[in-house]
Amino acid sequence: MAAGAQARATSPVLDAMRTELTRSLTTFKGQPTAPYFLSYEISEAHTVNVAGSFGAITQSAEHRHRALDVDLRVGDYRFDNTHPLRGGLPGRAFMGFGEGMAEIPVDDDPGAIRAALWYATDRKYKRAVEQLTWVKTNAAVGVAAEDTAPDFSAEQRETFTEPVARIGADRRVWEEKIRRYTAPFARYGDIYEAEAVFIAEVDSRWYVNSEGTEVQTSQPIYRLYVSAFSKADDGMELPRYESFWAFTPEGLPSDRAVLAAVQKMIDDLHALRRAPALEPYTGPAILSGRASAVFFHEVFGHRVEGHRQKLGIEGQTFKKKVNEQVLPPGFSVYFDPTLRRLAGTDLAGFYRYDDEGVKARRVAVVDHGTLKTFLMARSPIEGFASSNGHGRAQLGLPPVARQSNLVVETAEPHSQAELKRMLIDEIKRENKPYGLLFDDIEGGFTITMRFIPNAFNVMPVMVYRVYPDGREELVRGVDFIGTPLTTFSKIVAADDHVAVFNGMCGAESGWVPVSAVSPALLVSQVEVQKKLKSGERPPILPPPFGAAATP
Amino acid sequence: MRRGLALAAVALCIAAVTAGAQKQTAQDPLDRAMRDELARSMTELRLDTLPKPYFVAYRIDDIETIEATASLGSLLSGSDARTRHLRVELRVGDYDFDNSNFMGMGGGPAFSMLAGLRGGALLPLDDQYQEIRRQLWLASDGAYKRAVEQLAQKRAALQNQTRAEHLPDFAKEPPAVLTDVVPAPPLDRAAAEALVRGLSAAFRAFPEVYSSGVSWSAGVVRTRYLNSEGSAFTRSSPWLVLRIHAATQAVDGMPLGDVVTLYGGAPTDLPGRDHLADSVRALATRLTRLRQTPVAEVYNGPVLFEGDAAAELFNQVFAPRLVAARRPMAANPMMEQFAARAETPFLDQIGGRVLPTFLSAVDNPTLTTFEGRYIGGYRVDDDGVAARETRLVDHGILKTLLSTRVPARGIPHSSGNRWGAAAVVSNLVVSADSGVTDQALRAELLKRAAARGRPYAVIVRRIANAASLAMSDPMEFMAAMGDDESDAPALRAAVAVKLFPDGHEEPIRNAAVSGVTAASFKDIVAASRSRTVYTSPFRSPGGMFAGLTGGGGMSFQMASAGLGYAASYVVPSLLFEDVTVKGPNGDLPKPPLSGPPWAGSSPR
Repeated sequence: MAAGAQARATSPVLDAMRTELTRSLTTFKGQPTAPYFLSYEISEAHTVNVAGSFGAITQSAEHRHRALDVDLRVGDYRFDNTHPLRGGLPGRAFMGFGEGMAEIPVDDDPGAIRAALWYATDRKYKRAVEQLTWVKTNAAVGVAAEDTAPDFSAEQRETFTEPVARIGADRRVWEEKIRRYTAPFARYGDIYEAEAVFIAEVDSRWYVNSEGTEVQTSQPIYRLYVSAFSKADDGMELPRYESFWAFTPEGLPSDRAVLAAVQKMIDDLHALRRAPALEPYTGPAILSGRASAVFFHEVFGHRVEGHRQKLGIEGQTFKKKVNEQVLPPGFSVYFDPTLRRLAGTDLAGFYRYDDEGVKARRVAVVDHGTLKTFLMARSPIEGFASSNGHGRAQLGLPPVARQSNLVVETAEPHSQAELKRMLIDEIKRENKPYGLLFDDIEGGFTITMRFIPNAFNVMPVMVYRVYPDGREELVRGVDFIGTPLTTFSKIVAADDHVAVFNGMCGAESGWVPVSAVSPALLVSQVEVQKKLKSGERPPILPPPFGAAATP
Repeated sequence: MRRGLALAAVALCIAAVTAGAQKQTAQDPLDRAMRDELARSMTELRLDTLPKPYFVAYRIDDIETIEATASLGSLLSGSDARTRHLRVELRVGDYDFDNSNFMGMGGGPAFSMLAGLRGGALLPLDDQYQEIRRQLWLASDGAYKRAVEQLAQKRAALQNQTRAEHLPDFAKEPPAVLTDVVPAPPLDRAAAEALVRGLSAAFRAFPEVYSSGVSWSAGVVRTRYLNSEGSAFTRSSPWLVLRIHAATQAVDGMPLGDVVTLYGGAPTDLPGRDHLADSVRALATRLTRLRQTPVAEVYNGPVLFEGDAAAELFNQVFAPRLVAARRPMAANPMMEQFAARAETPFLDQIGGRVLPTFLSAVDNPTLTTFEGRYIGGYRVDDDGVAARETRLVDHGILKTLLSTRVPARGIPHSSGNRWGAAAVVSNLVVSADSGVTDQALRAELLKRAAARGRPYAVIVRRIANAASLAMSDPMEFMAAMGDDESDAPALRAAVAVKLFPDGHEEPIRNAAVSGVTAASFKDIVAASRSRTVYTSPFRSPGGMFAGLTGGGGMSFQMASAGLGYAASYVVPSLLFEDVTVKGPNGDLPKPPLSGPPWAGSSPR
């Protein structure tokens, strides 16, 4: 869809924003330091939320609220008030006190919306003028910056308006579903928490800036989470999670499919209770598609976020590696926010415009093993002058470069059976008693800052020992850890079975929905450490009701 | 938010019975689940050779709320919610020495997903016996494990310390079965949203008020309580709160803000819609005028605190001292210092004079109205102890303090004032033997100012409550967080005037009152015959410590539901001899560069 191709529908919110933006610029024009850029983003979250536990409802609510983020810049594109301070602290995040943030009326009332914009803009302007003085002095007394790129990129004007979506879910219907989904857990006295949460959300955004961009987008999202946990007799906590994600209510799985997943969770929890605890281990492993997806999101994705290449406190693993090989030659990685669906699943990282009014686009970050570019918001870095539509933020927060839909591709896919055979060959070659298969994972985290060793931790839930004879044995109690560059160099091969992990990713601009897609990977060497374990024993008394025996 | 906002007119019964809570409501699945799991916990819950619990209490709060906030006629947010919370209080040891009143080293498993360790749980809203029992079982299990660990730590700590005073950990009170149920207010979200939209639209006529809003909160907490001594209660606590807030900057840039908060238990307790609209306009008019008013200059001399200002002065300075908070035993010297802050200095002043001899004060939770005006109250406190009047100050002499079942020095028993984790002031009624007319009080003020050579005297009419301001402005919240609990907090006078000998008044702005401590209350020189009825957020000094050191139960659910606590006051106007009133120091922000965009626009 070409920018501006759509007929512009009337939008009272955009109209109010544009009017106040114009008025503000006129006001500030008379000041000694006038802004060179001003933008408003109003975001609305309209959510229906139903939670239940063991067949009963614990919460059921509907909320709607709007928040504002004002970006006002004085100086010029090269050097403005957001210029990073010496020592690498970003000026924008560390020097403000929430100016430019405000609660916005949910009624489309131009007067009330403009009143909130007016007061927030005035406060933001005064802070920006003060900031510019600080950063100018700081730059004058400091050493030369590591990254000499301008502070802000000029971008193309965009106009796009889509109608505000409605929530297509009935709370009463979902209360009944949540009761049904969580009821099977209630038969067991050794499952201590079992919760299902349904969230229907319409995320609407209105954006205007002084470059003429006006964008209104509105995206419904339907999510279902199921979580449960048990404890092993040694006190180890054993969680299981399932999540489903779709852009339409029909996109969520049928009751039958959810109940099958619930039964699988129950079976897995009981199997985990009986499973042996794994000791720390180094050796070859297969990461399932979902595990690989999380691994790539944590280990690779966060390290190619553009603004991290700019700040002196960041590790900048990849900054000087453009056009160098960072992955085995058969592997490519791209981010594509315009991709709505892949491998039969809706992709959470889909959007049309980012939170800086820049049109979403596909970005090929690694091409056949070679690093090509970074994920860019409007904060340029050396060699990369423009945004590629990845400036994202949680409602009301200032955006930074964030991931969208990460897709890992391999030029030479193997069948699942072949990949397992390759694992066994590797086990034998290294003379190991067994290898590992990471099947399902709950999530992970990574550290990209310089002041803490750069590492990652992926938290697997279902891990199997694979013996040289092909036998698989469920084990419990380990996390997959490592340092990024070493681990990438150990990737050997991938299978032909692509899996999707949809989730919420948290960073300095808040929580944003993302997706990661990957085939299963064979890694010649992984390291696992023992999971942090609770010392608390299981409950002293038996359950107060006739619980089903552990199968 | 204050709860137990009971109206006398409605069905309200109270029955002190010594036992037999069990028989009353055997049909209700929640009551049945509480009773059955409590019996099992008392008889079977024990780990190896460790002691069984000697006291278990379950409390279930069913909280229903609606909230709506609007600005300039437009809705900012609206919500309705219902949640049900469980809190378990479990004690091991005995009444004399148990696991409570102790600040340990944290302890317990390093991390745990079991809900019980958090001292409670979110319960199903569905009345399912089995699910309620499951949560009671897991929460009791966690509370027990934590209690035995605390007791062991406390015994270990005692081996290295000699206790200066020996106080039992938990007071015995006669078991009682009580009912305190009143009708819930109507919880109509659409009506609430319409009300706040309508009221907030009035600010559109005041372009010099830069930010403003009206918010409405209504709800009811239905509590069921059962303990192993045979006490039980059922209580409903409805509330209605309307807040009108406005902020602007004076012509010199100095921030100005004020909040008017109205409390009630039923819609009839609040003024009618027209009166509310008048209140909005009055606040906006006052702020608009204040923008042009000269800033306060330094004044030292007699100050008259009239009406609401006298009540807020009690609320912030004197009333927190009336709560018996005990210093917990600490596991190490570093915590010892922290623990020492828990004690109120008034514990050592019982029998001493704390007010002038012409003033007396009682706390009476069972009052619901005073001279026809709503003040709220409750019949049974959170320990299941029947509420009653407590004579705190008799002709200037401090007689006792307000307490829970946690004994403090000289306070062996509960006064029936536990609300949440700690004791609170409920309805503080101050009476004067020799009250004078308002006219005579002003004359006395002028006389004393003249004697001090002052060309004018100062009257303070309203003092801002920081907690109340913080709800509408994050900057105020930061300021409130920074407020220390020193003897003389800086009090912001929202409304203050200069009174000249010829009787005319001139308003002053941004006045801060300083130098008023709890000790200065005994030097009050005169009080009025007339009294003000006033409700305001109250911060119990013992709250944090009681939460940390209580018998295995914390009361975070109230905070999570957004409910603060407010106390009520019936207080005469008070004349102080020597008070400092001054303007603020520091730099001023500039006023906005342009006028508000809605100036001249009419509300939808």
